[in-house]
Formats: sequence, C-alpha cells, structure tokens
Amino acid sequence: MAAASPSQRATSQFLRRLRRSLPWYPFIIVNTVIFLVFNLVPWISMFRYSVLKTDLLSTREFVGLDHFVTMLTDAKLHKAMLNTVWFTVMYIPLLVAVSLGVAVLVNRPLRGMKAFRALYFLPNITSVAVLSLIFRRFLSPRPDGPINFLIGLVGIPPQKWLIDVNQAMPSIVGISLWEAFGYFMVIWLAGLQAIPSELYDAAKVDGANGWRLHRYVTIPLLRPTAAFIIVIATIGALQVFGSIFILTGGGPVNATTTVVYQIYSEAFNFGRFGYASALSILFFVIILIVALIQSRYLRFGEDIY
Amino acid sequence: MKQSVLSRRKFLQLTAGVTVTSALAACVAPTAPAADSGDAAMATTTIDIWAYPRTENDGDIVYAPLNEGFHAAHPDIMAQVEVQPWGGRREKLYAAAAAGEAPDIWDATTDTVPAYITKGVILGLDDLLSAEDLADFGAAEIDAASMDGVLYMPLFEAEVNGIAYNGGLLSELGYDPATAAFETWDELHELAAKAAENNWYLENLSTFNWGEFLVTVHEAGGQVYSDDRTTSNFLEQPVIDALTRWVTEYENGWVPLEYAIGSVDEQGGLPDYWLSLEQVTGRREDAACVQDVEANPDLEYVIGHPRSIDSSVTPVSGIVSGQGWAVTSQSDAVDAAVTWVKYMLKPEQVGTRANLAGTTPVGNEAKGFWNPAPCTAEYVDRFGPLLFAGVDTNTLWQESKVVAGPQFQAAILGQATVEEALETIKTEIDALLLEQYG
Repeated sequence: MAAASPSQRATSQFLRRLRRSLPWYPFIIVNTVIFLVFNLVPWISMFRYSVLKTDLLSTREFVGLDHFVTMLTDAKLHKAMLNTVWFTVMYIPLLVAVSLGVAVLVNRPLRGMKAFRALYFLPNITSVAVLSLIFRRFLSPRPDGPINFLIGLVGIPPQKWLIDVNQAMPSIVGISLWEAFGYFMVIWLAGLQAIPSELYDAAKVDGANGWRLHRYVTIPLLRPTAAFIIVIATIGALQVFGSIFILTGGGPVNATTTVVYQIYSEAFNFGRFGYASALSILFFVIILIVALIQSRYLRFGEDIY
Repeated sequence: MKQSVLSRRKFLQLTAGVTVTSALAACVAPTAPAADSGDAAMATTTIDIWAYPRTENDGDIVYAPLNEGFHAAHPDIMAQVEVQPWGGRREKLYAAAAAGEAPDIWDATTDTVPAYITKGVILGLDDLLSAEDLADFGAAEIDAASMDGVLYMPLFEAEVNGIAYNGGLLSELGYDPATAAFETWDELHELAAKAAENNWYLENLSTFNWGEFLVTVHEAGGQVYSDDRTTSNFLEQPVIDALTRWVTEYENGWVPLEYAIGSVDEQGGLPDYWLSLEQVTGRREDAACVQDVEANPDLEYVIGHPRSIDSSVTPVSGIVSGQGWAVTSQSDAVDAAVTWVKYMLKPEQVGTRANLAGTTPVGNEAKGFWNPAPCTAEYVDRFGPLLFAGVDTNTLWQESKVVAGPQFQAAILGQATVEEALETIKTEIDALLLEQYG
C-alpha cells in the first residue's frame, strides 16, 4: 500500500482535530450568538444612531456630528459628568479599602469564616432594586428613620440623606459599597490565598510580623489583584445607574444625575435616541481612556513573581 | 468499581447541546396560545391585544368572559389578550413597534397620547369609528381621548380623582367629618397646621407628580400651556401660587419629605402614610373608598369636596384621565382590530368590564350596566362633573415632569426661589414646545 502524501496526512490530521473539537463548538456558538445579539449589533446601531436625530420610530434625520457639538454646551451633561467623577472618586478608594480589609479578616483560618464570607457576599447576589428599596427605608429623613435613630443614640442630629443635595451622592456611594464589597472581597481573597506561604515564613525569619508582614509581603504581592480590582471597579463606578434610578431619579436637583442616568433620560424620557447614542459613544471613549491610563500605571496584567 | 454512565465530557457536550437548542428555541417567534378548537377552526384573523392588570388575574377574570362574547359574535376573528406589567409599558411598546412586533391594540392612558402620536405608534380612529359607535360618550370623554380634534383612544374606563379625608383624624383634630369641607387653600392649611401638632401629615406631594401639579395650578385658576401650545405660563401668578403652595407645605413639614425625590415613574418603597393613618387627606381614585378600607379597616374614609385657591375661583376635582383602546399604526389587521374595539365600546361591555375589573366606566348608558359600591358611586357623582381636560393634559406630559421635577426640588429644598425655579422650567419647556409644535 502506498504511503500517504504529506498533504493527505495534513488533511487527515486536520479532520481528526476537527472531529475531536467538534463537540465544543456549541459552547463557542452560544457565546458568539450572545455577543452578536447583545453586544455587536447594539454597538453598531449606536454608531449609526449617533449621527441621526431619531426617536427610533417616527423621525430619522441625518445630523452628522451635531450631537457631539451639542455636548460641548449641554450644561446638564457637564453636571452629570462632574457627578460621575465625584461618585467614582468617593467610591473606589472606599471600595478598595473596605473589601481588602474584610478579605484580610476572613482569610484567617478561624472557625466559621466560610459563613462570614458567604454573608458578606450576599448583598452582591441581591437585586439592586431590593437593596435600594431597603435602603430607602433605612435612609428615611424622619427622626425615627432607622439610621437617624442609630446616629441619634450617639448625639448626632437627624440627617436628610437622600433628600439633601450634599448627602445624596455619598448615600448612593454607601449603598453601592454595600452591594459590591463582597464581590471584590472574594477577588482579594483569591489574591491573598495565591501568595505562597513560604514568603511569609521567610519574612518572619527576617523578623517581620503583624503589620510589617502585610506591609512588605501581602500588599506588594497583591498589586496585580489591586490593579484588576481598580480597573474593573472604576469601569463599574462610571456606569452606576440602578440605585440612582430607583432611589433618587437623579435628584435632588440633579445632584445624583450621572452620565448613564442622563443617557437613559435623554433616550426614554425625551425620546432623543440619537443624542443618547452619541452620549454613549463619548462615554465609551472616556471609560476606555480611563481604563487604559489605569492599566498603564497600575501595570495591569503583569505578574509579580 | 462501576464507571459512571455519563462521563464529564459527555455531560458537557449534552449541556452545550441543550443550551444551543434552548437558545434557538428562544429565538423562534412566539406562537399563539392554543385556542379552543372551534375558534381556531373558524378564525381567519388573529389580533393581539396588550392590556394592563387591574385584578390579580385579568386574563381569566376580565378578558375571558368579554372575549367569549366577542368570539361568539365574530367567529372569524381570534382575539388574544396578553396582560402586561404596568412598569416600563411605554418603553416596551416603543421597542415592540420599532421591532415590528407591536400588538394590534393596546390599553393606552390618556396622558401618554401625545407621545404615542409623536412616535407614530397610534392610529387616528376618526374615519374608522362612526358616530353611532361613540354615541354613549360625553364630549369631555371624547376630548380626553383626542388630540387636535382627532380621536385616538376611545375610553373604556375613567379614573375619577378626588379628595378623601381620614375621618378618624379629623375627629381627633376637632372637626366633624360629616360637615368638614376644606374647599379653599386657607382652610386646608389651617387643617395642616393642626395636623402637624399631632405629627400627622396633611397630604403627600411628589415632585414628579405632574398631574397633581396641574390640578394645583387649575385650583389656582390657571393653565400651564397656552391653548395654541406655543408658550407656557410658568411665570403667571396661578403657577407661581401652585408651586408656592407646594413649597409652603414642604417647608412646614406638612407633607412627607421622602416624596420630594424619587423615580420619575414610580415611588416604590416609600411609606404609605395614608394607609398607616398618619395623613389627613389624599387624592384618591373612585374605588379607593372600598380598596383602602379593605387594606386598613381602621381607616374612616370620608369623601371630600373639590377645591380651589379661594372662593373666587371655580373648584376643580382632578384631571379627566382614563384608559382607552388604541390601535397601533403598525397593525396589519386594522379592520379586525377596529371590530374588536367597537365591540368593547358597546355600553354593555364597558359596564361589564368595569364590574369585572373594579373600575369606573365611561359613558352614560354604560353606567346602567355598572354595579359600583355606593361610596364609589357617590365619589364619581361628586367629583366627575368637576374634572378637567384640554391642552394641559395632552401637552408634553412626560417631558414636563422630567423637566419640572428637579426644579420643584430646587424650590422645595431652598436651592432656588419659586420664581427662579419656574423661570428655568419655562426656558426649557418653551424650547421643547418650539421643537415639537413649531
């Protein structure tokens, strides 16, 4: 029998590989379909609508780059951008500190720690609508509201919380923090548990203990985790919407109107889907730039050891 | 040891297969629910109707009996009613229309007609309904369902708004619930001051409740929009008086502060001080005299009176508001849809529907088929004649509340004076009027 030619061998190898991998294609197809339907198609539509004046139904007028020019003088948008930055600046450091602190605490090999981890993670799997409605009651401006009652016990006068122009955004930050810290705690935990115990042993031999172990071993070795968390949390913070939509409707006096809420309002309250699409593009570019800068300076994706 | 029948590899393959099949199945266009074989055999046209719930199961309680009669009268048309949630109903309809999946008919609300017209989802019905079809309706009912003289959504039910009082609290404040009236703002605020001494609220006002603000302006003898929709009257005295009243009530703690902010579309999660018997008066709908007392048997429900700023102004009770059947412009079975609408507009159906859904019917003859609770009938008789409609109720409703809400908050929270807030609203609203109506 004649030996197979190199090309026949290659073909048969290819077919064998294809046959072996065939069962896995359905997995790829599912993701591809989801990506196409829920990401790519809306994304392409967003670019198309951004140059149109349209409510998606009755009007479709080409306006070129007019929407982008309008943004330069849109005072509501400028306020929304400032609010978004304000939210992010308050939220990220607090989120990093709280989730890391809790992760360090629940990383101790003590009895019942798994239960604590589950408890702390619980708000993350609770619907933001449910959380918001619960916090709406907690943050009642009445003197007998739960939180006002508690702070009253230590002599602090009742606060207006969500009704106060200055306190509304910090209140939203608090609620968002409560919702998210469990998720980031789990990521910190994975980072903490990936640190080889030999490094702690070596540090102890060198005389480090307590805080110095964290300062010279834990924190430096958590840099990749920190980079991941800061980038991901920043992207999430810039897109905050759910709690604001339910709790404050962007108020009081637009104090909690963020860019995403503004996009929603332009689209669904005023029917300006073209302008909302243009805002989405601008916002995408802003988030991309922020993420790239963070990645560059936090050395996102680099291994530490 | 016996090997597991299902290997990990096989399990994953099976999972993937099921996932793909499910995803493909989900992408297939939904099929109509199985009709009873007799109907299915005879029906040549199928129409889809979106309705919104009034009872715990409108499909069975309200529409099954109504459609039974319709199918008997029109065996060639298969009417399928899908009861949708209230939340996000406008957005869902727009999305369905944009995707070419809009129903043939939907249950529309009067205040949203302008938006539906602007977006081209609603069909004018003037040429499709005869005078005979509309014979039972009063002029105000036709007016509330029309825009610029074109009828869009003939009403099947009205929401008669009016004022109710908590009789128990009135008694404790020294008033006789049977005779107390509070027909002017001064009388109302005198009541508010007394209620505040007992830590009770007078009423509740949401800064996004555009309807309530319109009523307040009309109580002050004004109108927000000019008749030709070219300008707004935000700097006129009645509008200033209306917002001043709101600010006064907030500043004095006569209304719950929580209601100053919140979602544009709903106030979910806020305490209901009316039902917890901490609020003296409230704007309630017709059947509330039954429903509220069912919800809290301790509530002594007292029907109030229409109100105005002072005795020189004719009192008003509220806005003519209601639900009507609208046909979508995208319907490819307009004739069948109109046939269904005509059937449902017959006085007998309107009255029956109101009985089944626990609502108030429109029309004169229709009320003959309606069996309301005595208090509901009294409520409708007292407030119905003093409801108002017109340009304010069908101009930029959604936009007005979104523009005005934050400025109302500014005035209430002391971030702006009443005049400054109204000036900001006027600038933005007049620009919208120019954009929409030229």
